[in-house]
Amino acid sequence: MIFYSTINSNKTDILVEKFFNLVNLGAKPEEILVLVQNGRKKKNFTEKIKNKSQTGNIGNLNVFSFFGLTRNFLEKNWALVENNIKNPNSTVFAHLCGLEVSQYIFKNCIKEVEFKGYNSKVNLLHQLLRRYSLIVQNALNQDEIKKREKVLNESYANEAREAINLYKLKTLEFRAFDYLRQVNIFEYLYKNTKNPYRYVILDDGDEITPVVFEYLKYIKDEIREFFIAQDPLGSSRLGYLSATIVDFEKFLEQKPIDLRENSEKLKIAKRVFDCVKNKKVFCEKNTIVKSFIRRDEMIFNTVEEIKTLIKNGVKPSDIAVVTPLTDDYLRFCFKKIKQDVFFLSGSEKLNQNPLVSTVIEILKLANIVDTYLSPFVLKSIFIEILKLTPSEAIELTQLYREANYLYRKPVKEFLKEQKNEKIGDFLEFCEKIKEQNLSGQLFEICNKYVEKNIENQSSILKLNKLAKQINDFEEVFENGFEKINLIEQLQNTIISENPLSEDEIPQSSIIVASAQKLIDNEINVKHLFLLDCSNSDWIKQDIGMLYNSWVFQKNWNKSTFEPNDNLELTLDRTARILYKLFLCSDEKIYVYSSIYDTLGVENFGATDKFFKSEQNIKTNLAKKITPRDDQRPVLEYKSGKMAVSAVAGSGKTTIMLALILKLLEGDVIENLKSENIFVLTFMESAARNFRERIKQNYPNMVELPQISTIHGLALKILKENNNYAFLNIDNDFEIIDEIKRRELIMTSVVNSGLDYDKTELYERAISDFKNSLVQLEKVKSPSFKRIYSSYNNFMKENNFLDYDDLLTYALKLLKSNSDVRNYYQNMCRVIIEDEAQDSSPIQQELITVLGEKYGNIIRCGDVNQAITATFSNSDVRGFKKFIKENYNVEMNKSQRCGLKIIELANKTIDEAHKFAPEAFLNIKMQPVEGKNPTNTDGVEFKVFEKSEDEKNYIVSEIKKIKNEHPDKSIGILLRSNWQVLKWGEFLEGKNIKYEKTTDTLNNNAVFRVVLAVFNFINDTRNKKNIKKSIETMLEIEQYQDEREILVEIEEKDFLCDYFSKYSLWWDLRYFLLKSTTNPLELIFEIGDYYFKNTLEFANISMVYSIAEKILKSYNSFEEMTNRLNEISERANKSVKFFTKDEEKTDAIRIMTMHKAKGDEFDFVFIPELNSENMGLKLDDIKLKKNTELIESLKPNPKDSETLKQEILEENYRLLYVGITRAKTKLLLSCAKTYKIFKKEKSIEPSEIFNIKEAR
Amino acid sequence: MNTFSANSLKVLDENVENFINRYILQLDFLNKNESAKRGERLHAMISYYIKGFDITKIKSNMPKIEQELLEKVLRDEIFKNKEKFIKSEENFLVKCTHKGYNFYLTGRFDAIFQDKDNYIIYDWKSKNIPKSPECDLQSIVYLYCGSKIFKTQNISICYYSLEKTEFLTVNFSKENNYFESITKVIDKLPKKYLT
Repeated sequence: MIFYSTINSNKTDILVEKFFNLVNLGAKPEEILVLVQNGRKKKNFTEKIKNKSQTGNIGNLNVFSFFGLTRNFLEKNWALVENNIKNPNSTVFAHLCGLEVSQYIFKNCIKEVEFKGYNSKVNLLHQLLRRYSLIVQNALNQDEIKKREKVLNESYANEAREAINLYKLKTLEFRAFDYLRQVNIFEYLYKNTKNPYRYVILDDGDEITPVVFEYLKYIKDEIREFFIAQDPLGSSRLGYLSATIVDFEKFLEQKPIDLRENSEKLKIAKRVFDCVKNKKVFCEKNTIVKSFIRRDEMIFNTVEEIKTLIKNGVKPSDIAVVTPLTDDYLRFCFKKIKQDVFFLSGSEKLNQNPLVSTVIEILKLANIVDTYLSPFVLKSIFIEILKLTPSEAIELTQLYREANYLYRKPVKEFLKEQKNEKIGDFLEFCEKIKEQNLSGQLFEICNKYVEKNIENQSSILKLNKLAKQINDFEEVFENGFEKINLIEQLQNTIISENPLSEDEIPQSSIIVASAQKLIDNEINVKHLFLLDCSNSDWIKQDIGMLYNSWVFQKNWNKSTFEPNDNLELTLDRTARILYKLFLCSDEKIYVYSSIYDTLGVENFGATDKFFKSEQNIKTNLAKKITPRDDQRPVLEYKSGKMAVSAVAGSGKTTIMLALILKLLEGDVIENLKSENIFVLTFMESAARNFRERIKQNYPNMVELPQISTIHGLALKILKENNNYAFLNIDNDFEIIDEIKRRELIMTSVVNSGLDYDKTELYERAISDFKNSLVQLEKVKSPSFKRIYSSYNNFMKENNFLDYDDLLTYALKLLKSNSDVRNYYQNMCRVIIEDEAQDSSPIQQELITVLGEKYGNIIRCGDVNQAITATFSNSDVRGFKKFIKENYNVEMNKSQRCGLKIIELANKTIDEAHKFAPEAFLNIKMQPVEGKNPTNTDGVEFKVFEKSEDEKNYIVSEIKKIKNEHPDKSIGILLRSNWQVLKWGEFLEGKNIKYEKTTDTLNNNAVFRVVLAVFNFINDTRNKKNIKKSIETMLEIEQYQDEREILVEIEEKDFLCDYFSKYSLWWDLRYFLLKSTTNPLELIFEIGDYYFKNTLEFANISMVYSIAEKILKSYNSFEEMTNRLNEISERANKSVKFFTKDEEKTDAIRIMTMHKAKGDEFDFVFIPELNSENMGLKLDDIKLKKNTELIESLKPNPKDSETLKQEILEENYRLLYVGITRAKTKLLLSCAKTYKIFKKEKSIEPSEIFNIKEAR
Repeated sequence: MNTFSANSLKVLDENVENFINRYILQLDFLNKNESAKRGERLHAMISYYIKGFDITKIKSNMPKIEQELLEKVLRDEIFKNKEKFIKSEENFLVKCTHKGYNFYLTGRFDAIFQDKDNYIIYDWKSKNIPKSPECDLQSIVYLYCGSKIFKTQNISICYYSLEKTEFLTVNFSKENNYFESITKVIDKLPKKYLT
């Protein structure tokens, strides 16, 4: 019998009834095989049979999950298998181990097979395991595998086969049978044993795997009756999880009985299925669709709504949340619901549990003679295990830190010296257990030191999993494993998805799960939240270098595999998943997404595309602008190429936004969809600004135009639709940030025998080289070749990409693959580029390729503000050419600056002719009639004798301005970051409130505060440190009435009770004690405590991810903190903190002129304009040693005169940028002498002061 | 909690708190010591032997002492009529009702020997045989369940010490109210845990 049924049609109850019908008709329970998809369903089915049975003997039930069936066969018939294994050893049982053991075996097998040229050794194991899993679950024989190798034209087929065969051999040798290996031997077993079954009941026919179906086919003739429940639209486990769609009608030659209820819910779910399959948008009143800007907003909103639901009487168990990203951030936020939340997650690291990780450290301490534990870990042992008082623990930890750092004292030696009874006992205990094997030791530690109470329940569960893992290793390898190695292995172990042992789901909790987990467990709720719907993790790609989940299906019969196959099949599976999810909710479904992920990186979009809200809200927040005459032509754009040269303050951003909105209205270009508009910005902040402003205008717009930096676009091109595979890149590629890149280049530099201080040089040279798209052979420098190759090899081996690779790879992909190129050329109907003067040759080439088909390219910028060429890859020449060759709109009116300032700016352009005729295009800034600030003495020049005079003058001016115009903004613009720091210190000393604008991590308050607390925890007695930490707290306006603590700390130990009158002391102490938990969790605690604004909270998760990355490679709190300190003063491109939207601040802003671009201030000071800082004559320009060196490493080096000329030109433009930041008043100043390293040095004022004379 | 084994009933009988911790809250640490593992090996080998698998190869790789022990056991009189073992390593599940509450008794018979209408439940003990087997909860549960499963009172449980190759048999007795002995133990568990 075949039943068409959904999870809502009581199919299990019906099947249970069939079970009893059979028994009543005389079948023995042991003759009935019941198959369900997973362990939890097995339990459910068994319970139902037990409940319905009559008193007395129930009999021997054979209810199995698909995996359990194969395991049961192996367990029952082990002797048969053992007798057929060739080698003479034998074991009484098969070692039914977890995946951890077999992964370890596999890892060693891979070492024996040379995957030559394979670009990700890290990923190899993962890819091979996936391939193996597909082969096993689809019961593919050698011929079938070979056929698939051919379809895919695989380059590593032989190696993969060799590695898998070796692995199979080794696992046999060790008798190590993880769940996949069990499946692998299943066919042999059922073909060589007697079939005990006469009836089959199959509960999840739509999720059946081919290997199980092959078995059913094999025993079919001996089966008197089949009872199969199947959802014809089910099969959510298609693809990697290997469900197969079976035509049971044909198999049994029976018509199905349709048990599906005729409900509204099923109709809706079917509609969702159809919409997704046909790429249409679904809309329905109980499906609430919302899209947020930041992920934290989405999560906060969800938390608030859940709270409201509960307040209105909804039971927690009637609420579920589905997201592919259950990260710590989400976990932390969900704590605020103050209800039990159960996370049904796939896999997690065992030692993420603090108790587990502490226990592993104790194992280390017991077994390794001279071990050095991190003080942070030792503190956990003191507090969590030995239950010392907090004060004792802190004191002892500090002592150990000192002993460890000063004398490198091993922890045991240190502990022996302490006169503490508990510690003495502990050491004695460690000595006593040493002789036992690790599982024995673990048991002793747990029994003695872990309390068996309900609070520890989940930890105990995990400790038992740890025990199982240790036991697996000990059984399989017996004594072939050093204890120390095993401990190390355990520290890196993941609880692999083990289908046979899953935790119980509590009855009264809110469930947070992945889509598949919710479906697999048939969790039915009233309110279902689908989060992160714009995150591409929703639609997992099922192909990799060594596996293809579609082609490796049993029923694949095409001779080719096209990119489109992948898209269609993935879409089909997505439709099935969403269909099943919609069946899981009785009342409402909330489809939520956000533009950015937790790291502030734009989401590419996923399932969100298929949903929209019932009402279509469009709010027109952008004021209808009336363009000026010089702006109007931009908005009259119809098609083709257009250049927009816009002077500073001409309203470029507003006009571009207006143009984008106009394009979105659809009146300019017919049928233009938002995704057809590509906007490229120079900075991520500008892209964000555009996105957010469009979003404000169209809150319901699901798919925004493609707005990003060139790197963002390149990444999208590489990632979308698995395009990276065309470049032979594995899907686990990681984009490394500047910090990691620097580290790798430094290693290459040092390894090649050069001094590490050459690193910066090579960082630049490698980037230049990659962007030049020249072949390595063309480079002359042998040392460059060596260092580049070494760096490049390392990157390849680890599957790393740097930012330059993103661009070169994306370009390469577009040029070499016509499918991909056509896709993007069709998509890209309009390109708008902002800050085109900073565009690099690669960027310009990308734009050219993308815009080839439609040719609608709009490039905006100001060549006179090109200020990045001398230190980046940008090249203003391309934009100049574009202006010349195409229709050019000159937006030369600006209402920003006062007339005198405009005059000076234009004069600078004129005067540049003398020394740098190529510096500017002759576009002069014009005022807007009646709009510019009117101030008669708008510009002031001052040359002082001494730098102190200059500084004091500026301070007095600032004070004056603050008095007279407290609302006006003031900026101090400088040449270098170093000057920014100095001026910051100076203003600090003068008690003037200021804000530095730098790219450094330290510039972010959240980062500073977290680091301040970490520094305190890291060394609780270092007064200088503590003072600095306290100062940071005071800076963010906390503890304002506790300033005297800074004085008192000089005399007393900060940890003593004396300080208990200060709340700061209590807070820091709280974090210190809290620090025994996961240090990363602490970041959320600290952030949550000090920052109330959601925007800041979004930044907390970024700080978290920075720390997480570091912790991954350094593995100790101390090292992590040290590294955080090291990088705190550096810029980091990959971290994109959210910043407040031009919030009014009364602080003086200090920044470099470069950084000031895009900003404006009422009052601007540009001090220290001497000929060194701002050389405006060729004689003033001195090339830095590195500049020439970098040049010499290039394939086509420029001579030093050309370099000097370029720098000179850029200096003019930089000055121009500085000048045009000022609205009402500008002061340009310098001093004749400066103190450098305590010596007075006289330096000529810059040429600008002569330009002034020329007035 | 609705399913009990002889072992869990013993724990419940001795200490309710331990029972709750171990079987309900799962707050116990798992550990298999060497002697437990040896017991498991011997059990498995006897079962393979009864089922008719060739055990020569596996036996040859066992520790010497276990090999000898196994050989000694298999030479014993009771294995002379191997074909009379109708089951080995057989799970059982029996449903009971007590004061309106349903519970289940579960466990595993090491081997069942059938001689005409008589059934013997064999239980291999790697160490000692229970001191007072008549009142041992294992005997009570096994005999009670055996009588339900095989629908006969001609049933006995035979504890067989593998180390000493000695055995001790307890017959089903009509005088004993096995069910009452079981429910007396179950009644110790606070009501709220009975589901």
